[in-house]
Amino acid sequence: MSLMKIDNMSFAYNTGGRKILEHVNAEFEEGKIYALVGRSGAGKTTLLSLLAALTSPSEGSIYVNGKDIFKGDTYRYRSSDVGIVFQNYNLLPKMNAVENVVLSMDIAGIDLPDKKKRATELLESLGIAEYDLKRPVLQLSGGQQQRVAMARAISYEPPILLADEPTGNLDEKTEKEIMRIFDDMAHRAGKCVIIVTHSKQIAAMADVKIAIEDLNNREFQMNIPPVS
Amino acid sequence: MYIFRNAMANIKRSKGRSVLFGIIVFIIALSACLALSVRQAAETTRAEGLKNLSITGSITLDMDKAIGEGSSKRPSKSEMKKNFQAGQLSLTELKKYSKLSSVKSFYYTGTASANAARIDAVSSSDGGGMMGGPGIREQSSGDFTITGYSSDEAMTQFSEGNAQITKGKLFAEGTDEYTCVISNTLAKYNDLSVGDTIKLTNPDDSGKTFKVRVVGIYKQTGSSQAGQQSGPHMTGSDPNNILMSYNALAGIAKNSDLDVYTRGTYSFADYSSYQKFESQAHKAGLDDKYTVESQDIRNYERQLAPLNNLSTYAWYFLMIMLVIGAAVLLILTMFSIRERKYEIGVLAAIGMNKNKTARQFIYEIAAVSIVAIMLGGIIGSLTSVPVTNALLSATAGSATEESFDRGGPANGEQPGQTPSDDEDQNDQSSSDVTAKGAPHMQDYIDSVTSAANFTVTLKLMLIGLALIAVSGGAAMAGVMKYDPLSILTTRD
Repeated sequence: MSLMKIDNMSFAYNTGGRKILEHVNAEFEEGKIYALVGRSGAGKTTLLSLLAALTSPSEGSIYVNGKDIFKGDTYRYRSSDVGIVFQNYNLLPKMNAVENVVLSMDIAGIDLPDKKKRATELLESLGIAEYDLKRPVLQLSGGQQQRVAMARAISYEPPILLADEPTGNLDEKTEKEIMRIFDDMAHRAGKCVIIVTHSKQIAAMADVKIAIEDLNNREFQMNIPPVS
Repeated sequence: MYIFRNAMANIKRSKGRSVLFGIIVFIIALSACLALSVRQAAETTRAEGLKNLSITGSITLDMDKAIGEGSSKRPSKSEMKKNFQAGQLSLTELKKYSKLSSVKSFYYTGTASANAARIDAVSSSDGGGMMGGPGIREQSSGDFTITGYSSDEAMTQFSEGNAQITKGKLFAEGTDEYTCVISNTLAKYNDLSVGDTIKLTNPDDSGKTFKVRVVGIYKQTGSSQAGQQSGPHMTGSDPNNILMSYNALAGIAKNSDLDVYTRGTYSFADYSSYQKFESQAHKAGLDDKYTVESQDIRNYERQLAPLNNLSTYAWYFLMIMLVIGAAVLLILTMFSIRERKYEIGVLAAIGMNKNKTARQFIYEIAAVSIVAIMLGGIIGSLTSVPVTNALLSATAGSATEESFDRGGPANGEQPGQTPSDDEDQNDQSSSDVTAKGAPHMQDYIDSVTSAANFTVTLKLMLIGLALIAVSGGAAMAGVMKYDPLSILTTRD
């Protein structure tokens, strides 16, 4: 049974305007990595924003464990059911790495006696050195910030992990390390990992590759075919 | 809990912003504390002064009502005189109102005008200081004034030390013997001494004469100004004033057809009794054309004028500060929210709902504001007394200068003057007058020792809450209007 289901979903930024996504249907399962690929402007990031409930579809909906995410509390959904790794990391710049992670746990309502300890362990397991834990995140390198963003996204153990171009700004070595973490999340922790990417390496290592064709010329219902 | 913790941490993380916000709130709180303290000092001083003030009042005829308010035609002097005479309350009526529960004690005086057969009146050019403005004289005008007192209590110029017997003695209280005391000026001018007899005549009928024996000679000891201002019966500054018992005057009036104008004075235990008296009197049958007035209160209010002015300026200052301060805080908060737009977007993206984000911002504003208001309040309280006193001294100084510029008061109550005459003259007088039992201006300047009290603190807290509400409201509106996706996708 799928964890997440996109049901006949369309999206346009303006009412009556050009549809970026039109009648999209797709299903996502636990323990798999999904790579959303396609040309720039095809609607990959838009689709990820919809999966994160950061915006609402024009038609159709998204279901997680059978529940329409747009009919519930979308804030709660983002704080508990889904972890998001943004392309630009979107960390809180005046906080250090530990504080960024602890805040996510606080928002998710994680009841732990020592959240700082848990955040520290998590960050260290993702390769953040002790010295960097208390530094403002803007002083960290891109790879380190990406790791902090990942730690933040998985700190409250959401079943779904969404990542937008997670390796777009990173070198090859760091990209591999990041991919190893995603692999662990999906195949060891059993998370559903959905990654928007242009990277052939990431697409190659994904369990399912979904190509989002440019929808501008489509006039009919589109079912995204799994491409393996 | 984490929202509060995060808010406190954010204050530390953004020291510059917090300090700037705090400074603005501090300035507002300090200014508000000073302004409120000045107002409080004025109110306290007024209330305390009134508590200690011995208040006397009298029933006076409201000439506007007596003439007819709607009348467009200006009445002639004779008509006004007629109205005034018709409106005089009899001694019986005056005594009737003295029985009301609000009255502590009652006394009365009568004044009449007379001419003399063998002595001359002291003219103003002879140094007698007989002054008087134009007005209605409800009695025939003679060269001398005879004032009759119902009791020693009525002779306020003696009891307050503005006059004293220098030769002989005062006539017996309530006596009906034709005995009197005269001023030393009049005695010297006419070579009169104790034991001499003065022959007086009715100014309307020179055939009607009466004799009074001089039993004492008095002199003015207080300032003439104080003598003139201390009450409606202070006629002692007129050297041609002949003082005697009311009973004696009444006897003379009966035998010689003199017009006697009787005026009652009611003494009250406190200010609330004074306030109660008028309504009690009207209920007891006093016509609406009469009002109750107190020279003591008028004088006291006049003394407080600088303090009241200061209080008014403080109020305007407070309002301006609050409006400007609130506007500055509003703008600062809006800029701050704009600056923190990205943070709002990230918090929303990771699942913190907007209400919680707004609450966090409000906690930050509230925490900084509370500290700033406390500091402003403490420093304001410590500086309020010297600042209030310095402002009062400056105001008092300018008030004194103003009175000198006017050349001082040029007034003197005449026995024939109406209450409206009194008012006209009082308006010209300086503020540097002393009401009975009331503190002099310098006294209340010295007495402002604690300006900020619980009331000020409470008001300051309310102002603080209002400022927090303004800034918090702006923060909330800012947080609510932003959409997380648009913030994150349009990040600079």
